[in-house]
Amino acid sequence: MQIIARSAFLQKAGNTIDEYEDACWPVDPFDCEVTDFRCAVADGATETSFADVWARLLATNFRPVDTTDLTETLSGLQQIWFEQVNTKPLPWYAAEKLRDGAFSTFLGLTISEDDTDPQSRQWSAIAIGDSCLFHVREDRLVYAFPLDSSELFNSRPFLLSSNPEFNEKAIERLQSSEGAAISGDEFYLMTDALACWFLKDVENDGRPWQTLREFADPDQYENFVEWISQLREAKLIRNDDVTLLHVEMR
Amino acid sequence: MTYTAEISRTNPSCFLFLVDQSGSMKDGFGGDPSKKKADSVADVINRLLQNLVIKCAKSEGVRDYYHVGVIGYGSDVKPILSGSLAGREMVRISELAEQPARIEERTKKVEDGAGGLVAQTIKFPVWLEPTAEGGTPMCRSLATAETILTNWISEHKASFPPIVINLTDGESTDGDPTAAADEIRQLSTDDGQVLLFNIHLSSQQSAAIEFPDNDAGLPDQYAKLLFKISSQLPGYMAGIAKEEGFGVSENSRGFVFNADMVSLISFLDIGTRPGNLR
Repeated sequence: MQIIARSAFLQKAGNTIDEYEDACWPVDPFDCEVTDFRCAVADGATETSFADVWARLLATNFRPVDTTDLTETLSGLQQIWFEQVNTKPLPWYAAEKLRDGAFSTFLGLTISEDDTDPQSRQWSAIAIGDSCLFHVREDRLVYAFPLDSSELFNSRPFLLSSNPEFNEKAIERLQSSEGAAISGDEFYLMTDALACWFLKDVENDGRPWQTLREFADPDQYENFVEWISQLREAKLIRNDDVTLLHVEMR
Repeated sequence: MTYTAEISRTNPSCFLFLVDQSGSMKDGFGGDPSKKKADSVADVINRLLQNLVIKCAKSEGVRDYYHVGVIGYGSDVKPILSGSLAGREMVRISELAEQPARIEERTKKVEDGAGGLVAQTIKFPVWLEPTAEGGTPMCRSLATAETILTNWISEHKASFPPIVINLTDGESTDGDPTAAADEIRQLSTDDGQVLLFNIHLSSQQSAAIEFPDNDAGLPDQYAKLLFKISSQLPGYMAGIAKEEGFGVSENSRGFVFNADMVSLISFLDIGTRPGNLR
């Protein structure tokens, strides 16, 4: 199957790009014939330490795993996180915060060809927190995961932690879903600010994927930035990091 | 809509603590002599400031989402941060981070992951030292707060409104504080009026009255006065209080009468939890 994936992202207004704390994978435009494809987005919790590092580790290292293996997989990433952030003596407040660890949402999607029938494709996704996946087919939203209403976004979603002590409840709350995919299907992955806007638009009979499909084109990046700024000014979207990953399957 | 401004480095918010340092603060909570109210209050505020610093700490340093002032009133009315911040009426959170008066090291027993306990050294920064001497010049302290906030607001018109938290264990000794309190509550930013919360620290063994929405259940004129000069909790804060298990209504005020330590800690936590901190 051919997969075309493109991303667009923008840091919160008032922050520099270094202060962007979401992550997505792949970052660069992807256009290949593959039998399996993996992608992810993650949203680092801003009040936590080095959340950007943690979000990036989660997104770039996503592999489909059984929930039983998840603790072990996470443990490897937690170790890497700690080594990456603990490189120099820290002031008292940073040392305290490091001890608590970094937190992030996570949404991972896998699309695979069926071994026995290459025309048949399956998708599966895992999610923790409020980063969302929207499955669009023939100009209709067919599925929203894990949240399907703009009312469901609040400021305290469950998050994966770089500190193993805090993950027990989070892992229990991990959600998974799967389904069949056909050629022409599109998957939109995004972090909460854009996801909430998306669902509000759908609830008002809009087709937000039409707008996002265009803005995922890297040549449209300046227009994307302008459009997000306008949404923020009009208070139609919360001021937060925005991350969009558009995946088209042919 | 009020109390919705985003707290950011360009539009920081501010907390101003007014701390009763009168002689009676030498007594314990609810008459319990084992720890003086003054010591407990200093401890709780130091921990609160520590948590605020940590909340604002990022990889590159501490982001100035907040400005903080601590004014003591007892034998005098003056700023009471100590160390190199002494005499400062309002400081940025990054200054608190960089300049604690001292850092205490305390050991905490934590689990070692193998069924045992191991001693871990934790650093406790200290900015406030306890004092308990003199009367309770609450009117003067509120007037000082009003001046400080008028200046602050003139430079931060778009910010989330300042929150004043008055911690006291007794009646004002320099007159009725109503007028001075009203002056503070009249101040506003574009996002709403300054909030004045009052917490009365108990000297008796009776139950705390927390976030009342009317003064009917309050035991005396003094409690009713403090209720009258307390602002209503903004919606998001009432939501936090509810989540923490407090019975609050839409008219609940930021006021606790006869608070013990636990009440004090919850009250300060709720009063300083950000509604919209990014």
